[in-house]
Amino acid sequence: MSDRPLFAVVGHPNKGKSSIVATLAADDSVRIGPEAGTTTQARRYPMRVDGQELYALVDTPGFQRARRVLHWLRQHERGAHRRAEVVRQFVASHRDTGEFPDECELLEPILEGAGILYVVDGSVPYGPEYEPEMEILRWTGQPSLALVNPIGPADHLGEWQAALGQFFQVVRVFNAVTAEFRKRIELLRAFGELQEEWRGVLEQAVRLLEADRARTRRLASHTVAETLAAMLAHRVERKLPARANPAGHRAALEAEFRSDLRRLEQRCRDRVETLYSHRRIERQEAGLPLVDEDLFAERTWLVFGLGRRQILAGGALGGAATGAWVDAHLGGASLFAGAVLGAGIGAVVGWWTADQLVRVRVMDVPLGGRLITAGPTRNRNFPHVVFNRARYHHWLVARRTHAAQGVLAVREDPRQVLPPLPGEELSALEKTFGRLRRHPEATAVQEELADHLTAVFARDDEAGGGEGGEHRGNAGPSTD
Amino acid sequence: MLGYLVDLAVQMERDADRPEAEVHRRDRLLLARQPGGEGGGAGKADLSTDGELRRGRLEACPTRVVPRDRRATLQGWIEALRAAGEALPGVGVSAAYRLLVAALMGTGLVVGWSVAAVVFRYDGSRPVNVVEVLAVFVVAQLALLMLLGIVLTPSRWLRLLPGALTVQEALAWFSPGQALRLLQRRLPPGVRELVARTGRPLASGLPGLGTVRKWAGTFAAQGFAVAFNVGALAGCLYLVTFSDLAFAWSTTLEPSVERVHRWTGWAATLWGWWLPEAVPSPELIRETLFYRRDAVPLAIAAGRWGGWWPFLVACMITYGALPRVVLLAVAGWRFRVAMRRALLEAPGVALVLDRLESVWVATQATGTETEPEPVREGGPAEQGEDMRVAPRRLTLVNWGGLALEEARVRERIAADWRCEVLGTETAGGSASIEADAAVVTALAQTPEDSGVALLVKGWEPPLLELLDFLRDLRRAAGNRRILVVVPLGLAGEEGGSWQPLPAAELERWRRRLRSLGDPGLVVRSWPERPAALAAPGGGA
Repeated sequence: MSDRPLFAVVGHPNKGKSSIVATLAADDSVRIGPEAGTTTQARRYPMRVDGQELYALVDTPGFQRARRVLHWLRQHERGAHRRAEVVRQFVASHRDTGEFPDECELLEPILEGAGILYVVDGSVPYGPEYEPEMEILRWTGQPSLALVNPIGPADHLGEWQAALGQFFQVVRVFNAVTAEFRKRIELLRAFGELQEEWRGVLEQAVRLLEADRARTRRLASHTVAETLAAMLAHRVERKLPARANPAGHRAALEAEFRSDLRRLEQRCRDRVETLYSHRRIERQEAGLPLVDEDLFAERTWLVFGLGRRQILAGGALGGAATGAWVDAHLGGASLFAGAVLGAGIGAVVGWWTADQLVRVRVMDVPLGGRLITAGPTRNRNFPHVVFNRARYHHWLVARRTHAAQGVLAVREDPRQVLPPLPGEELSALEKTFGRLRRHPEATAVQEELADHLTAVFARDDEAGGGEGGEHRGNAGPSTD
Repeated sequence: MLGYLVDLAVQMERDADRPEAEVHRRDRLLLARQPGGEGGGAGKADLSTDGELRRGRLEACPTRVVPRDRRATLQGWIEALRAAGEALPGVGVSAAYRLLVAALMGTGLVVGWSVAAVVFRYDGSRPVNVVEVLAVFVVAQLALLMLLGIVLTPSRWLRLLPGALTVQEALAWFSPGQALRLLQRRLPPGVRELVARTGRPLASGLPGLGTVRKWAGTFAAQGFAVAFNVGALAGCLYLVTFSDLAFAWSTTLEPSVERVHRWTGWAATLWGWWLPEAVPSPELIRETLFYRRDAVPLAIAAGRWGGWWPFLVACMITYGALPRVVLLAVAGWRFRVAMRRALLEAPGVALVLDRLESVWVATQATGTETEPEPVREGGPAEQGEDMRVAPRRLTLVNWGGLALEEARVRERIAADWRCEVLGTETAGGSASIEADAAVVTALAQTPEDSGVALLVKGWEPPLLELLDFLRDLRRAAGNRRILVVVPLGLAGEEGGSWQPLPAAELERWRRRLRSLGDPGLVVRSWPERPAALAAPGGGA
């Protein structure tokens, strides 16, 4: 028997074996489909820690000719104490014949020492055709656990539990589509009940997975905090000729501004999903509401990017230098009055010149013009809206299993499912938003926001619960 | 340190768009394979394979280890990336910067010497003007120093001085960065894009690099300034030592000798008490005033010609070279501090460290899943609701242990399909292989013009076991016999009656049975009738 726990997920075809593996391994690359025989070869899903394997799950094809296999085994039986040997003999003699490819494929990891995770669908009735499968598995002598995975309404749990209890040490109900992280951890701990030697390793695996989960939440928080800072600081600008009417360009500028914010938000969504190992989520989300009457600003711009203040400063510097020369000429007797006066005159000239320069054309190229900008948004509610949407999306993604295949619908108002933040926390968050609005580039403020988010996300993640209706498609009601 | 910082910025920019799991795995493997790392062994890491690390000690493995020297961890990581073949520009940028500073210093020496040669130029016709020397080597440098002071002063302090912030903003326009931006705008679009892409990590990857850039620029500029002053002093001393110079002062402003003496006294405050010969006396000042219209050499006594040079050299050292040396030292110190800070405190570095210090955990499959073989499209075996050749007589087979009330099913089939039901057999499910074989034999002996209808559980997938049975049956019963497979849907919530299978599931059955290539095989839906045919309870 291997010192590293190995678990073979076996059962009838189309009973959710791959879904269970996808959920336990957090792997959305697992092929899951309504056609029987989607899995044709055993596939390993090892839990690796810095490259070292801790335990592995093996997804296997379903039984196709269980009665024939059992028939063969019975024909070759040499006593109960040698049944595992007979199974081994069966695999050895049929491995290359092509007669029982699925059975050989699924029995091999078990013969290597894998614990058996036998999966059935609790939404369809129990039938006698399952008994040969369970009998074969019993012949292997390996520790076993049965998982009732209700793919649809769990109408037949009772009969399944009664039947499975006769063949397996442990019977658990586990909905692969709706099981949250906590359920996954609980199930992993249950695997430890199969074999005393595996318990320590699986406890360590649980500890590592929980730490990794916490780290993923931290990364997600940072991603959201960075995005929020970028969205709060974002602005778009457009340069127009001096005599152009800015009003005509406002709609296009606003559309560009909105589109940019949306893009930033979507990129954040993608990153959060990738952090949770979801790479194939189809998402539906309402557009970002943006009510900001004071979104636009307009100012004169000058060639080479010099604005009015720079022109003014240049004028002041020039004037001060001229005045200082006069002061020097007077041997300092003027007490720098020349420099001060010169700076003032220079500044006024600079201010006046800025407006004149805008209209000047050199070789038919205008020296300046108008600059209209949209953003950054000043709406006090805006960061709260972005935060609530991000919080809700994170909650959905964190609890979504990798077996779920439906569309991820991010509702507009997450307050229906997520509890409101306590007043004290909301107030602290509001202050952080204020600081972020003033200093969006400040790392310390972004870190502060990320810390807030980490706490909120952790609470949401640990609370789990909520409703299960966001996963349209094959999401069934949770029965675990 | 600069090389590490640049590489950190570049690598963070590159990693930003890579999946976190992939980057985490790479970094942990790299660190472990470093000399002294937990994986042991040096050399180029192979990023394509998983290492077997810490074998046998995993149960004691902490989820996160924070090293004592996190800076060393970062540097080790960057070195490992370089060793692993990542093309990082840090070493090159660092070398280029050192080269730039050296070039600037070399240029400074040459320029300083040249300016000294021009300013101290004396061909015997007119003495070296002390005012000119002071203007070039003291006043101009002090003015530049003041502007530099404004540039380097944090803007929050400048707010206290009215107008200073505006001056700082105006001066920023003359910064090398601004000049580079202007230059970049003049480049052809393709080159401009390339330059922007290359420079992006340095410009925006680490916002903390702004301070580093500021002090790097200041350090390089002060290197030039120190070298300039050294060059000027060297030039001055060379000319004083190896040629005869005559110094005098001349200005249109006509200050009185007393005032000039007061000014020079102020200027010499720092060295006058221990170097009195470097302080011009009133007599020297008076006697060395000259006008270009005069025949100078005649006006100044020969003994006074060299009287000014100790004062000038002291001024050049005190107000030219020394402030620059101090500033060079300060800039060097701030540059190092900024780099050390940026390495640990720049945005995003905390996450990099978190990644390096946390164990990499993965639960996903290592390879890609093999594609299932496409279902072999055999013969037709596909019928809609009509049977092409409707058999007048049928034998029913209850496959898989369906709980049926036999009499009612026979009655229903006979009524709905207008045929005679000859009998019912049971196969599959818990029946033995021998029992199945006996059923096949029995069915083969039924009249040749009769068909066989298999009632199967539609909610279960069609297994190879069923296909084997159909194949055996066809072989035994001959090709002319019609075989009908009827997948039943589960009873509704109220129980008691079988339902027709949903169309999509029925289609899956058809697709699967088509692989048999049996033209006489028909898949037919259970007729939708309210008649209760199931056994009480509705189960299987």
